[in-house]
Amino acid sequence: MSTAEAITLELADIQNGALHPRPTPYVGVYILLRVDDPRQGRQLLGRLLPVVASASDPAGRDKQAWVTVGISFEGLRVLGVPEQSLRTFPKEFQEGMAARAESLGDVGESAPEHWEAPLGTGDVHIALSALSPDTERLATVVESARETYRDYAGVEVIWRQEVYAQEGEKTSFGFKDGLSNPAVEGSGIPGTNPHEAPVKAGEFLLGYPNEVGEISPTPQPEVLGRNGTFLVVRKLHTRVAAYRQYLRDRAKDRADEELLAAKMVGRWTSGAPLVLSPDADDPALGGDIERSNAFMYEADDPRGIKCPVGAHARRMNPRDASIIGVPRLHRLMRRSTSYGPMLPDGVLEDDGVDRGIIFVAAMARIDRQFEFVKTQWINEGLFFGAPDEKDPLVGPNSGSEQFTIPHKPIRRRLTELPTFVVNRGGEYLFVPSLSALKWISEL
Amino acid sequence: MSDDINIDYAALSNAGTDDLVEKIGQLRATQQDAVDKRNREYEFPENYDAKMGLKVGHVTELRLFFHVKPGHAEALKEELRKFKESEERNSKLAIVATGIQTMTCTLFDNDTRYLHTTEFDTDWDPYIDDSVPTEKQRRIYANWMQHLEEAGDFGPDNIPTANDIKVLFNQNRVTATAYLRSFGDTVVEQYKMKELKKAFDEVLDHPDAAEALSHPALRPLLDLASE
Ligand code: HEM
Repeated sequence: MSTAEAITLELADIQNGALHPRPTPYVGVYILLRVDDPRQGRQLLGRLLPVVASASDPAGRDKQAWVTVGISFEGLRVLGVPEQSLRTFPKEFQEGMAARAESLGDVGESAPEHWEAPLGTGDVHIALSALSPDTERLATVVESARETYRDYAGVEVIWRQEVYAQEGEKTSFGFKDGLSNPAVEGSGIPGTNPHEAPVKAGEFLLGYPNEVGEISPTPQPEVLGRNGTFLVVRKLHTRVAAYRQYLRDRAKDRADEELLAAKMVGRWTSGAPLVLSPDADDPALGGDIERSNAFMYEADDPRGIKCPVGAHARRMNPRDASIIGVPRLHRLMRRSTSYGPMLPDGVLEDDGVDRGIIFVAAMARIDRQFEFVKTQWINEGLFFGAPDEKDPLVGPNSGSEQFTIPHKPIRRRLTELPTFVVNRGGEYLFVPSLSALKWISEL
Repeated sequence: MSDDINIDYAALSNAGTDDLVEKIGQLRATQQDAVDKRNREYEFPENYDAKMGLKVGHVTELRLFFHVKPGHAEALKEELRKFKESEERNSKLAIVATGIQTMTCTLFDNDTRYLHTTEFDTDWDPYIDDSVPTEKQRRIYANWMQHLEEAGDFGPDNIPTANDIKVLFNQNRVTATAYLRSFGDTVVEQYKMKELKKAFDEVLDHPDAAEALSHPALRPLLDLASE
């Protein structure tokens, strides 16, 4: 199909959380529900309808605060979605994240037997996320969500996770996050990289043509699948003290420590990208959303002298870099948030506090997007020519892996990389359209 | 394909959720044909089996066995030569992107059967969409596939989707019994080795090479310098 055709998205039917970036700064909460009484579960979805904002009305009932509803495969089954319809969901979604752990590399400490209950147990049926720019507005939307389930004895809250932006929107390792996301064709929501063409809507929304000109497998009937999306959620614990100690042991001095950290991520802590600011952080650039993502790799830094080819952000979106495959087929719409307090500056001892990110990403195909990225781009380095190098920051390193930092005149290499990020559990969720929510509520 | 997806949002603004769902339903009903077309089935056949090829190092083998449509052998040969030539013209970026190391096209059994053999970096299954991402590339495949029994109606007038190609390949794929390669390095690694060899030769051609390489840090290179 030609690329010139314009797409109009049915924004009024799409959950806002599937398309719209989260507020900045933000506070939020994730609530997981188990449905013991299917009838009450369906009624709950009906009641949620007016609470969930659509993408055409992102302001919702309260500016910039909104609720998103996701349902697991088990949840769809419990809610009474007919068997013939359940069978039309993609295999990986039917199986769920825990069942895919081995192939995803969620092994050792990240294996499902160590996950935080109820993640991965089959008890997670409905997931609600409420995000807001401040606690007052959050309280209002959370209250409106609570109204929908509190009368039901047959629906139980089984998990709650509070999240909030740290100062400067930094995540626990100290880096500004959530800067780069793709623009979606037809959504009207601008992307952050002027050099990258918007990605086809079908990469993120079901029922529209994707980058290879196909409609991604869409659950049937049409009213159930269309305008929905899949959400991958993972609670990623970060070992901040170990990470700081690792850098301290390898760096020549404090400035070098910052440089090595930036080389691992691909950006300085302020968010300034190495490609545009290779030698020192540039907080003004990091804080300027117009400029901080306006770069490519093949054109600006083909050999990775500025930003290593194995750096986290470059692996996660190689843009135009020379790799095996086509980067645009593996994009993620990230909606991650931070949990836990920061480890105070300068502390190198683990204080035992849990901190990290709730990794959340929307996509039309879990297999070709999240699972591909995790297995091919995080767990391996074959795609850019270094088969044995995993993602230095978030990869399942085991103490023997290395990370090559191209540098003139002579490359540097970090060795004996340990694990800095542990998966505490996760779920594959389906985020139905508003009409699908209504359809399920009336089953 | 997409003009059918347009919906008049002016008519929908200010609608309540119930209204909205109903109005979208009405609009859709008027476009059912287009919607059906758009929702062309995307399911793997019951017997779909994502077979893995054998591997040497990072290189995987893929063997596809087809039957040639009667009377199509010469046309198939012609298309395969063109296919090879078009792949040969690929830039380095494109060669790396496909990860293809070799491709062999063989007609056998008196030109009644066709064996397509390739060896490439990575596994086939996760990369199928990446290998035929554009209609132009799928058309190149369709040009030779049109002469194969198993490809049915696919051809220049009925270009297979990436998913069609995935299913077709997997149904006609036979995993090798044994697979030998002397080296299992990726295309990128091979480029790097060639560059290194060329650079090292340049060093050795320099009149002061022996002296320069006598530094203790260069010992491993000096050991290789005598040949
Ligand atoms: C605790 C774990 C993680 C941390 C601390 C982390 C941190 C970061 C940071 C600091 C950036 C650069 C800022 C930006 O571009 O937004 C980034 C970018 C990115 N990360 Fe992560 N990340 C984590 C896990 C993951 C995982 C598991 C994935 C995918 C499966 C992922 C996918 C991405 C993507 C797609 C980008 C954007 C790249 C771009 O478009 O340039 N991240 N991450």
